[in-house]
Amino acid sequence: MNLRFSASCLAFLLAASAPGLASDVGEVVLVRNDVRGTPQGGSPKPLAVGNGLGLGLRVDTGADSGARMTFDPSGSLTLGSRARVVIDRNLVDQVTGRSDSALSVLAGQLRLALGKLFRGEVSIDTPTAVVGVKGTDLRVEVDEPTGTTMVTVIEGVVSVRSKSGGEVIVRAGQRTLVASGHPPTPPALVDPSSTALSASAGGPAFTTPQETVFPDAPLLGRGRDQGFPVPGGVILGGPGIRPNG
Amino acid sequence: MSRTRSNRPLLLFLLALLLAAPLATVRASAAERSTATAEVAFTYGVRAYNHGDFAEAVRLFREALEADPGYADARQWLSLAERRQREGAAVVTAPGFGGLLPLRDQPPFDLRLGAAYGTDSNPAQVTNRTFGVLTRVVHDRVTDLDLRAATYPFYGRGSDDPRNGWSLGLTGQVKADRFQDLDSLNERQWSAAVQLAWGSDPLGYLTGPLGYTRVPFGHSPFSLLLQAGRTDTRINGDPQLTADEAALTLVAREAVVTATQVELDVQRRNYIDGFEKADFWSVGASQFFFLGRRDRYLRFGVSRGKENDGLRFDTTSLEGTAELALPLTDRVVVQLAGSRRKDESESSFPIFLSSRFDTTTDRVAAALSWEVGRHLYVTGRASWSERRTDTPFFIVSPVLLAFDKYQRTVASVGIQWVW
Repeated sequence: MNLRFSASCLAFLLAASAPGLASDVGEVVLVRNDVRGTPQGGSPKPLAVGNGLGLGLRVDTGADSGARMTFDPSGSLTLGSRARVVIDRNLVDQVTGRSDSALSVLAGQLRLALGKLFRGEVSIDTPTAVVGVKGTDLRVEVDEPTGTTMVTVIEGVVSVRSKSGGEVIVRAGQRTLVASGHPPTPPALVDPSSTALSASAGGPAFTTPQETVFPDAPLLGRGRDQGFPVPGGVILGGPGIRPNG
Repeated sequence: MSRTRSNRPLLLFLLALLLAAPLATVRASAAERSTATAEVAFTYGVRAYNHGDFAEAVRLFREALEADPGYADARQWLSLAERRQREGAAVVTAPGFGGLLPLRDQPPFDLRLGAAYGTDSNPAQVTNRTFGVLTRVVHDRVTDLDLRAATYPFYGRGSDDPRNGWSLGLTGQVKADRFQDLDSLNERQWSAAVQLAWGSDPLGYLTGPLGYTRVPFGHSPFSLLLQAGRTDTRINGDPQLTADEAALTLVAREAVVTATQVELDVQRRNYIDGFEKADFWSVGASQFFFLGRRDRYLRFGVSRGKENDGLRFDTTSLEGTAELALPLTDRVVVQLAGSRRKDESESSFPIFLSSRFDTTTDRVAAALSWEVGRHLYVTGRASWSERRTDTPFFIVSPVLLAFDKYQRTVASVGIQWVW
């Protein structure tokens, strides 16, 4: 009994003394059309701007849809239309700032950009390949029926390993294909202008929120403390006409 | 000649230096260019924008553009963020406005304390003529104190998107007017209200007949406000009017340059501690026309109301209003308004000499608000009103003195502390 209690205490102390690990992944900042999030063991719900991203969350985008989200501590994750992505892991050591993250791309397009502050690695798992990402900007596209994965590197260097064997290093401006049961194709040069997956990939661009197009303002109405429609009350209160005056 | 030859190496060195400097700068800039940096800065910039932190958004969008000068989205968002940043200072003059804070950081309560001092040309509302005799109108000086406190237990509840959820506000206000000479006209008023709102607003609050309440920042096409409360007014310490009130307000933002607000208000009025009771209802609609920005607008409104009481008069009213809000600078806002109201009153009681009379009331007002410091505003107001009644007879009731004509002008300066 005492041994079990001591072991529990020890485990608790070890957990408490370990470097702080945060599991928050990021926040949705732009949404276009149909974007849904399914928490682990939960049911799908529409994702909206401002929603947080938790571990195990599966994000699905519909046709002509997309989403952009922060990928903490310093990353940007953009999904194109008809994408299915699961956030498997995102651990940030708050002492060293190093992180260890993993995503699964089941279908569709994804762009991941990591900033200078992102110290660590991201592993992207697809049906046919595993992509190792470290401080870069890349696009991953998975063809759903075949699982064929195309990895295009916009900036930096990534390693792409086929699940059936074979690994290549892909540099900026190069792309590789990984088909089921095959090793990655040798990296080939691509047109740099075709590599950018913006938030508008697969459809029209994200429009800025309606309220941002036209700056908005107060709808001043009469308040109970106003004897007069506008200037009589609230912040401009003071002696004035009385209700019966 | 020899002097020229001796200076040539120095000149060549300076020339080379001048040529090399821009090249070095270009190389340095090129080295800093990064699509990854631009993408990340842009995404976090949008997040800052969504949270209302426009200064941070501007910084991040600029960082994105430095890293990728061809980033068109970042340029567009930078322009929007800069505009919102400029307008931020202007909109804080709005009632109860606490700044464009992220929803989760909105304070759960607010407080406003105000004091004003002014002159009132006709506080007793004395007519120009009584029983055919010219009367002397006495003017007086008045001090006004005003305290409003509100708490907001929740925002945007019941929806995945807080901007489309329910918000609750509980508000209370006390107000006192004290005249320098005419003590018998001193007025005190307290009010309390429960306000349930649905939807969001670009400036984070909705207004209705019972005042304003906070809601999430956003731009829902429709917003709804349900209000219920009580107002108690006393003159010289004696009960004057207690009104139990409920109201429904609907705001439709049908276009970027217009919005429509419809209000329905019902009241049970209790005059002079139960001496007389009346039911009142009114329906009003107003149309906003925004002049380039949302805090600069023209508003036209019309409302119809009716008060039924068994003892005095049944009064039907029709009122038209026009209102102009004009921000002069980021810190100074001017508002102008005018209205005309027609009341048709009919007595069901035979003791009155006239069973029916009409009253027309015109009002014009101007107000200026100047934000002199954080939380502190200086305000100035002036209003003029004239009431004309078409009956030549003297009609008296417990609470309404209806004469043939009276005028009143009020002007004041004050300070407001808003937290």
